[in-house]
Amino acid sequence: MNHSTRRGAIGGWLDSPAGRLTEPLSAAFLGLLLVAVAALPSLLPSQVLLATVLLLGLLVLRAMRPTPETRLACLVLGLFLSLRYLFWRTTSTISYHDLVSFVTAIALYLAELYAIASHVLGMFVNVQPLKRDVVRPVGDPETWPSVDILIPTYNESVEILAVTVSAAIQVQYPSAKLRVYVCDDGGTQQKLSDRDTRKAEAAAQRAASLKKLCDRVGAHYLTRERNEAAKAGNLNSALSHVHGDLLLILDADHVPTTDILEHTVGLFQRDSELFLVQTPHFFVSPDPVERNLGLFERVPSETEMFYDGIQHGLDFWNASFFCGSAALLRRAHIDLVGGISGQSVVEDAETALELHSLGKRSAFVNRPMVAGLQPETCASFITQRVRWAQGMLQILIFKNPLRQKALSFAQKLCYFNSSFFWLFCFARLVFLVAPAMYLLFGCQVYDANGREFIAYAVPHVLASLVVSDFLYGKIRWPLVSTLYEVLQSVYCLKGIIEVLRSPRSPTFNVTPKGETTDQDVISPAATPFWVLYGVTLVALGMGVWRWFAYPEHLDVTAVTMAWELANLYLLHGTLGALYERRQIRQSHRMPANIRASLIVDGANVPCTIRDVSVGGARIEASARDLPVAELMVLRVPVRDRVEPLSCAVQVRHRAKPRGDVVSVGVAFTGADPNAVVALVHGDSGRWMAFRASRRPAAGFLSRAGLIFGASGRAGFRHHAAFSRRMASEAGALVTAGVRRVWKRAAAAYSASSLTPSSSPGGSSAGRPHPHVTQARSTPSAAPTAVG
Amino acid sequence: MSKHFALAVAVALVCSEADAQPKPIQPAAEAVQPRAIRTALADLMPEPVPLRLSSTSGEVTVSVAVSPRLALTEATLHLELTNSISLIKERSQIAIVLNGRTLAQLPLNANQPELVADVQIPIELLKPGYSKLTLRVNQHYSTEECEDRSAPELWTEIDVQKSVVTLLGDYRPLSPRLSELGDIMDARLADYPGVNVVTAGDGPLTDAQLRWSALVAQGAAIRLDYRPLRIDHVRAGARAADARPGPGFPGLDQAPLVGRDNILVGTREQLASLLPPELLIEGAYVGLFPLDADPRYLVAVVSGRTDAEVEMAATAFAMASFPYPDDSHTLITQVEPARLTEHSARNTVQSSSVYTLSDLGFRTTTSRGGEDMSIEFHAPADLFGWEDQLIEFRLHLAYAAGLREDSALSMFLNGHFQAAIPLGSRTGGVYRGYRVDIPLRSLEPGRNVLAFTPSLHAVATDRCAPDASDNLMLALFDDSTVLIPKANYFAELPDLALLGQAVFPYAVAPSGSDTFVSVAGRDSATVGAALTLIGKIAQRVGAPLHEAEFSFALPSTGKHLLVVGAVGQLKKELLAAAPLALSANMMRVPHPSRLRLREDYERDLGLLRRLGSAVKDWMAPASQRRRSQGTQVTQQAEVGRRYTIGMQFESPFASRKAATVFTAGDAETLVSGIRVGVVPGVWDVMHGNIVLWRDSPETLVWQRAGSTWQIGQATPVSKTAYYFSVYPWIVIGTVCAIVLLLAWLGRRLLRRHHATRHPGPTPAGGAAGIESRAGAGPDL
Repeated sequence: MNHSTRRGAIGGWLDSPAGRLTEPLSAAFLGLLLVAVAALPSLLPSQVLLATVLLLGLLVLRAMRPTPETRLACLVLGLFLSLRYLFWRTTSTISYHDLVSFVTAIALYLAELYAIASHVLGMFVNVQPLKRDVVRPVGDPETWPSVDILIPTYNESVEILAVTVSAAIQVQYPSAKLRVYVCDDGGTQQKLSDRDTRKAEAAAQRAASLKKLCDRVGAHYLTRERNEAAKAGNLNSALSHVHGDLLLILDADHVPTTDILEHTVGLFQRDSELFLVQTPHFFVSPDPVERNLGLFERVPSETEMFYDGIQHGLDFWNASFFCGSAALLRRAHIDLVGGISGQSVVEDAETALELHSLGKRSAFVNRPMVAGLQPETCASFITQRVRWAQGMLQILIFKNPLRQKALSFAQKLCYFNSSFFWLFCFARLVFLVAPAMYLLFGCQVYDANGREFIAYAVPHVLASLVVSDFLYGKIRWPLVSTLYEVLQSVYCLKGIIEVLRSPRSPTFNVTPKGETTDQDVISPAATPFWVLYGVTLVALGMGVWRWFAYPEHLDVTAVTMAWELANLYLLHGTLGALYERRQIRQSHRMPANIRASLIVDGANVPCTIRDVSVGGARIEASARDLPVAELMVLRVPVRDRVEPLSCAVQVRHRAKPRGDVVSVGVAFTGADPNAVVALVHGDSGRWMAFRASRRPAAGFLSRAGLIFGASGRAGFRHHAAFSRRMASEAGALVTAGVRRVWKRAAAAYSASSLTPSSSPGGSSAGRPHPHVTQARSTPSAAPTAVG
Repeated sequence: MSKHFALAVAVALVCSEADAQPKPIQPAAEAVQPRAIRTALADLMPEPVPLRLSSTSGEVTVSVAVSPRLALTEATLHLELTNSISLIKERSQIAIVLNGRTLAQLPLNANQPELVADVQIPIELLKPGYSKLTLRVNQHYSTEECEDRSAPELWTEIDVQKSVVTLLGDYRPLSPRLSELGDIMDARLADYPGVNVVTAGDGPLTDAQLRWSALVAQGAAIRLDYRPLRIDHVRAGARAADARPGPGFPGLDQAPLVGRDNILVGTREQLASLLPPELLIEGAYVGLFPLDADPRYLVAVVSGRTDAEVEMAATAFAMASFPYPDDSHTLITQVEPARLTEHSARNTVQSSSVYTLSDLGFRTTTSRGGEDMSIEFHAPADLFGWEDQLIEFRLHLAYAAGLREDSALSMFLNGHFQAAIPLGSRTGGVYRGYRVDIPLRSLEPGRNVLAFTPSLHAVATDRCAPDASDNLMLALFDDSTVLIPKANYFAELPDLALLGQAVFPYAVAPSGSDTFVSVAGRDSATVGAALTLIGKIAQRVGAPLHEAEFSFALPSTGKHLLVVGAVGQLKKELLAAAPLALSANMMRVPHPSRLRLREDYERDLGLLRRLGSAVKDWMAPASQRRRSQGTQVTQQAEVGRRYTIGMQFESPFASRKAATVFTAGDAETLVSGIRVGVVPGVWDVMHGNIVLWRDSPETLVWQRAGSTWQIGQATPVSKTAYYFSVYPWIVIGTVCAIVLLLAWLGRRLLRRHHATRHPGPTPAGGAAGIESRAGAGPDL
């Protein structure tokens, strides 16, 4: 009783005005104290003791039921160990030996500094993720805000747009309040009058098809005179034609579910200062890394860390930003900043930054309500990421969030973190190169012995892993981020250097979608990684030599070689990701669990749709009940439709029955396209279920093992293909060589055997022999034969 | 008498300058008793370990000290050894070599493996100074050429305790000159009898007399360098009426002074009745005379007309390097002691400094065949370095051609291997600035010995090839440098080990300006004990603590305190602060066993076991925790007449200053106890803050009790870091407390932020919270 009374008294005092002031001051004081303690030098045994105890504490906290308190304690403990490492690293491990070593050492230090700063910023952003409840529109539907759905397009295929527009038309909302606009930047006057007549003709054909599509489904077609300011200009041009209260912006390949407005519009009704409701970008196709490593459907998508993790953290600090699509914007607020901003190539984040600077608010609703397509090839994936990197760096240069006075401190940090993140490419490349500098050239890049490394660096790394696993464990598996970062590093660094040299030079490059590859190929983007891979292998060889040549540096060599081995594996996995797997399916089948029925010869056979796309489905039914037939009728209930979808399907494949269950692959024939789209893309619940299915409750090591195995296997596939190619090219070279030698021998033989008989009584000089003339016509043989 | 006096005057007239002072009387030499100075080989070696000579050839060299004061009549080496029973007599032998001359060769016989021999040493070979006595063995198990030089059966072991060098002779009658003072009070005298400090006057000893006595005692001690010394205090008495007057000091009772060197100290008035009337003391005076009663011994007169002049003379006497004239007396007109900075005593290295090896007393040396080269220097006792701080050596050395590739130069610090330099090139090599790093923490407080041990092997095709050892050479140049990194001066007290090794904290200022020496009793025994102790300290510092305060009272200023006195003479306020409570009939003693157990226990345990031990300790009931301060036993008993006690604790008269008390049941016990205490067997092995011994070093026990404190010049950060290292659990607890508090406060702040900015939504919990709405299965 006394205890509770005391707590009550303390709590009451803390809630008083004086207490409210005391709390942040106390927290600041304690924070400074923590930093001061972290900065204390110590003897190694004490440091080992401290690190061991704190790491154990961290693991205990990780194992406990997650609560806001344990989360904070976990973050602070991890922060302490990282700060401790940073102070030691700064004060004890950098010294001048020679210029090359010093430059490398500073580069490595800066890379580590970046990594720690990024880690700490990540902790801050994610300190308290915000979970929002669904807020449905309230009141008379007549009073609901009107919504304009804008679908900007540039060069995407009409087939892709047809699905998106069809789905947009079917979004559940009062029809009088909903307009769908296709904003076509591929059909502008500029495009139609392109000097290249073939391009002009293609643009005209595409524009005509889109107009026809819009007319058919009831959407509106918009275009403009000139392609200015890329996507932002396209949208701003459309704004002059639309007048709805809210704007739902969808990329051409972002197919909305029917309930997207049902889950978002209510927030605008409740908060008049809300300018944005962002929803996750959900992808029904794997990105090239997922596809090439075989990770799709097995692990969470790379984008989920942002949409299912970081956006929640940003939302808490009112810093969730516009991601270009799958977002609702309040028209009135957009008008306040003069439309969509276009100074950078990431118009979305830039617009959000401006509106946050005006004191407006944003929200994030974590329900996947669009289904999009990932870039299909590594090249297009890299194009997309380089644009993001360049754009976020442009924001840092043009509108440095830290200098935006109207932003709160937390918002500044959040925006800065979003831009700062893209400098990972520098750090990642340094981490790849630094150990090789020691192993190859003996550069002293890190002045520490093995024991010190174990006492300071290892606890920091382990703590960072535990904290990252705590923050993102269910949505980001171990090694995945690293693989993605390595893959992007070389190209993003090039893009970033371009921005630093000329901030306004980058242009908006539309990410190619819907590409296909008909065979396995090594991506052209792999070349720099082969170079790095080769350097790493040579460095490891030198490391073996160093092992025996410098026994006094055995501990440093061991640590560096372990690091280099990790690099080798990362590059191996990256090469695996850069081995493009065959991809011929235009429409991607998504897992489903939909009860339906098949009508065959008048009999109604219950079945379950296991996966479905707009082209067809895989259906399971009882082998006894389902007769063998080529044509059937599928009847399946569709969300928000009274009548079930009923369409003829053609059986393309019938698998061997497993027990009583037989699986058949069917193609839709003659079905209402809108109904099929509604079936495939209409229900956000399916996307949520799919997303959840990729998060099995595996432990850290199992998850790491899965990624390790998948990337390792893919790497070996790349090696095998590379070897085949090398063998093939070597074979071609040998063949060419043999052919050349053969021809040379033949020419020599001809010359020696014909000269005496063919030029009787005179010199052959000045009279070319027919064989010689023939040889001259063969470039490879000519110099020798003639000369 | 008059004849002798006339001769002295004549000599004085010839030698002295314009002062025209009468010279001391030169008494006639009397018959002397021969003395035997026996020194075991163990006492001539750095470490008294069994001496084993292996391989086909091996040797050991020791230095035999001979003082010019000693007139030798005979010298012998008594040798006892055991050799391997595999040695063949024809080719195995031991040679005794003195200063390069072979004195004897003895066969090493497998049939008679125990060898006892007495070897006469020609005394003409034993020049004053240090002579090199080499024992060289040649050992073989075969008469064939082909032989395994490293065969394990090739050995001879010399019993270094029973093997003894005996020097027979006696002290020469003295005709002392100031320039020869170092040859009279000579560290080379293994049996130096000690010094009497003689004061005059009937009244109680004054603080000034104590100070003069302490200064001259230090002067004597420093000249005797490392020799354990005995300094007694004698009150000069008037010659008995029936005693024969001496020619030099007719008024002095010389009976108590015979058999020892004597330093007569006091003002001219105080000494007037003792000195010859013709001895004119017209300033700060230092003069040397033979003792009338036994001219083999010295009487040094340190005097002046005033107290200040006596102090000047005593200070001059204490300065061992003072440039004395080649005369029997001198008048000191001014003394300007060197201004020594802190931590600069006795070849002491300091942080952030670069030294050449020549700065440390090393001279370029060529090692032939693998002789060790060593450098001795001192490190401040409170030098506190972090683990990553390194002493950086830049060595310049050269080695001969034709060495085998496994040849190397090994570096040892205080006997512990630190690094090796490969000497692998067959064409020889020269290293300029070869870098070797040694952790700063490897330095011991006080004396350190850095040894370079070459391991040189000639290139040989097989074991049958003849030795080619002429080329086994390595030169280490004295312009090699040593860089001591920047470090803090910081230490935890009390710690008698630091006192023993480096006179810490009393010699931080080598002049003793921060030291107060309090002598609890004015009796000669107590004063003698104090003088012996001060002498020992001066020997260890290498310089006199001439600015230290000496008094019979307790200090009024905030200085480190050194107290010497019997239990009954010690002040109550001092005893009250001591960890070992003593009084006339009561003792309170902390029981030492558990503390010692813990010390030993922790030293040997690895980190994990220490962790486990700490957890176990933490979980144990309070009554069973080993961290207890030990049982306090209070007894109604005196300390007894056999124990001498040393204690160190925080001074009750000044915060963060040390008080070190040496005491015993009575003054006689104290003085004899201190004489034992200053021998290396006690002084060098003191630990903790309470030491106790009886009449021999083997009886020493020690323990640690009471509170500790830190002193030094470390920055607050360094001090905190020091606490971190010493009390890691406190820091761990602090970090955990800060983390929990931060988490709690952070949670409150975030909740408030949430309530303000997001009135509707619910904050997520932990990592799982954010996907709690994701649904567990398909919707349909």
